[in-house]
Amino acid sequence: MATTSPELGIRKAETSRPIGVTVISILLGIGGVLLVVGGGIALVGSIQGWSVAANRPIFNQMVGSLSLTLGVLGIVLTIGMWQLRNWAREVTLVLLGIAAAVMVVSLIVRLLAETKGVSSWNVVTLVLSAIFALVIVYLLRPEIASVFGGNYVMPYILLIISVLPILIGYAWVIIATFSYRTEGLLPINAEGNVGGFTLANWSFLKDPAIWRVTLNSFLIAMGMVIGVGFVSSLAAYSLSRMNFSGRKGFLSMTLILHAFPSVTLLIAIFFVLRFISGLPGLGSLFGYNTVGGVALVMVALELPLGIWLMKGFFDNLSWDMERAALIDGASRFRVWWEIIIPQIKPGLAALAIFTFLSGWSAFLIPFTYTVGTKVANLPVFLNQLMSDTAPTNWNAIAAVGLFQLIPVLIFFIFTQEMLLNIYSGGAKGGT
Amino acid sequence: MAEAAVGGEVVLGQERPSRWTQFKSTVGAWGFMAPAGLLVLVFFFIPVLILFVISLTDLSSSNLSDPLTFIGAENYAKLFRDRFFPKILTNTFRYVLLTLGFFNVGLALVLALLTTHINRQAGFFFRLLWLLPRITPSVIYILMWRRIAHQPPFGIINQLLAPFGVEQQYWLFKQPWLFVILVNGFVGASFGMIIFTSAIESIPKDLTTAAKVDGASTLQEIRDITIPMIRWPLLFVTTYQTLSLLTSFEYILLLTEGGPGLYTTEVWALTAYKRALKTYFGHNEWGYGASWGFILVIIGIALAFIYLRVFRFNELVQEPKIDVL
Repeated sequence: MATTSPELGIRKAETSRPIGVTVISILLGIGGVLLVVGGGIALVGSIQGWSVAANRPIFNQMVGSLSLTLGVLGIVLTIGMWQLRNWAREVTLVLLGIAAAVMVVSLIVRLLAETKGVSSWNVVTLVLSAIFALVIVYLLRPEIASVFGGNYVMPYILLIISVLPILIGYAWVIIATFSYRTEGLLPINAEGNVGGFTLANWSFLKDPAIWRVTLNSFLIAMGMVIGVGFVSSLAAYSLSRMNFSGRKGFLSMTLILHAFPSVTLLIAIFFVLRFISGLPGLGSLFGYNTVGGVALVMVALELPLGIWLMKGFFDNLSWDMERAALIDGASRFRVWWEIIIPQIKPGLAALAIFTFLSGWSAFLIPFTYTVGTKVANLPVFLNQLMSDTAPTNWNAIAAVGLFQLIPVLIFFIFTQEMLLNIYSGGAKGGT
Repeated sequence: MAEAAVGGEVVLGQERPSRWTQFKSTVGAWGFMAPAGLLVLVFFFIPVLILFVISLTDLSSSNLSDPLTFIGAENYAKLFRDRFFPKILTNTFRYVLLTLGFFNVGLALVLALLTTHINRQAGFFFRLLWLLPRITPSVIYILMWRRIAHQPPFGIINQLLAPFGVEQQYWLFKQPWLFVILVNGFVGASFGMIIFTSAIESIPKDLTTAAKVDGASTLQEIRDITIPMIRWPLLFVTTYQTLSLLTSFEYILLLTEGGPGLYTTEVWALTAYKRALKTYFGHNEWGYGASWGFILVIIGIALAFIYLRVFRFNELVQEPKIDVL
């Protein structure tokens, strides 16, 4: 499936170009040149301060650079169309489709909102979207499509468009972190012009509060790594290797719990934590409003996944060494610790990365079971910054966010394959 | 100790072990199971009971120190009489159905098909990018979306749509539902995408090759071979994600808190949470919130059992490799 055989992916290019395609490429060329000229004027004008463009300089720079980009793209597409390249046809289809859809929707919205008859801009929008629709219908006709040659690129175009919101979100965080303020994706300096690189947003690193919440986040994450790793590999070992009454019951219960939405129990777990708070000794470690309590709840809720994953790793393990050790009289626990655990290090590492990430990113449980900033973790702290009543400094928040993203992105870059595998089995809670 | 070679594997303990050995091994095994068993008991089973008991009382932050007063099913009756009950119910259905249809199943399937029909490495790369929303800490993920849908001149959508003549507006407040569904859908799509991808990749190659030889187009091949072959994973993802969506509220809590305005985007699970644990005025109605929550727990338990039966999860419950020693 993944390998496209060339004879299926490539169409033969024919030399004769239908008249419609010629017209479309000429239209594309004219549109591209107009966009380049118009965009250039808007861009230069707003920088030079010409009277027409001077009132909203940033808006004009933005529109200018966008039309410049689209114009260049239009000229490139013209050349591709002229040479009957399939990529040009597909990119044109997608771009015109999006443009027509946006224009029609905005036209409908404007018509519903306005009562004062037809404005010339509405007519232009209507005519343009009609032309776009005609071109799309024409280019989709099988006899026209068969004239074009070259590989299909449509899946790539659609995939790139689909990931745009994700990439835009990340781009904003990175841009905002290093700028005074942002309008859209543009960094704006104190004078109101585009630009202005600053590290001022990182001044939060000097605040001791950030290090306390970072430590709390780290403790919760490490508590989860150790807790989930230890408890679930113990349980999974006996489920995988021993025959005892209650085994089947516990295993199917694990599976049910894995499917069961544990967030629905948050209200009741609140009372469990309050009860633990009342216990001598344990209370101050694992009670309500403690880092230990948050970690304990998260370990427990992650266990069904952990046990299930670890059991899978144990099941795939050859048991020759283990059997030899058992016959020689070693205890079960010693066999588990000295022979089994070293063999499943990759599995444990995968589980550790997964639980570390979920502990490091945890918001809902720390938010529910902690009060104030003493035991808050990074996400809770970040949320407090966002919902402060004082005017929010979004750029400083973005910097804290990027600070929190560092370990996440490190794992994301270096453990890709493992993450894709584990999230198919471990995607629980959330959505 | 009897040893018998079965299919190249040595199986120990073919003889029926004595009662004493069996008892000893059970005790030993439960020693290994003890920590997990205790945690599951304390944080799954007892909470279900607590939730049920509390839902029958009028427990709230104003009478926490008093002894419990049982009021029978009064909380449940109050729930159905709630002025906003129809609104919340409609919101819940809208949220689950739209997110599920457009993203968790719909887009997931499209992404799986697209990424399996292109170059292998490129497909992997795009799937990986789609994992980003899920792996991004929820607070930061919401921060990004808030800025994308922010008011002019800060919002990114406004900036990108300005050249098309689209009116500048505060998108999140004008179209809260659009963003509730987008935000959840972008996280939810990756689960189905991964499951569908492995299902598509395990379809025997000769089936698709035969179809291609017979002159089927890619779309025909997808409609007549791929979709029928992955109907089981499709059904699984649909039911599994229905339950996930029904009980999830973290992203809505962070994005709109159920607003803007009264109960505009408030769903069932969020109502339970807010009534019991995060009210604006610090007055937590645990009893009442628990009744909302317990209904979800019942639905959750029922669906989880259905997964176990229908999707034959118990086939995973294989016999242990080493028997009693």
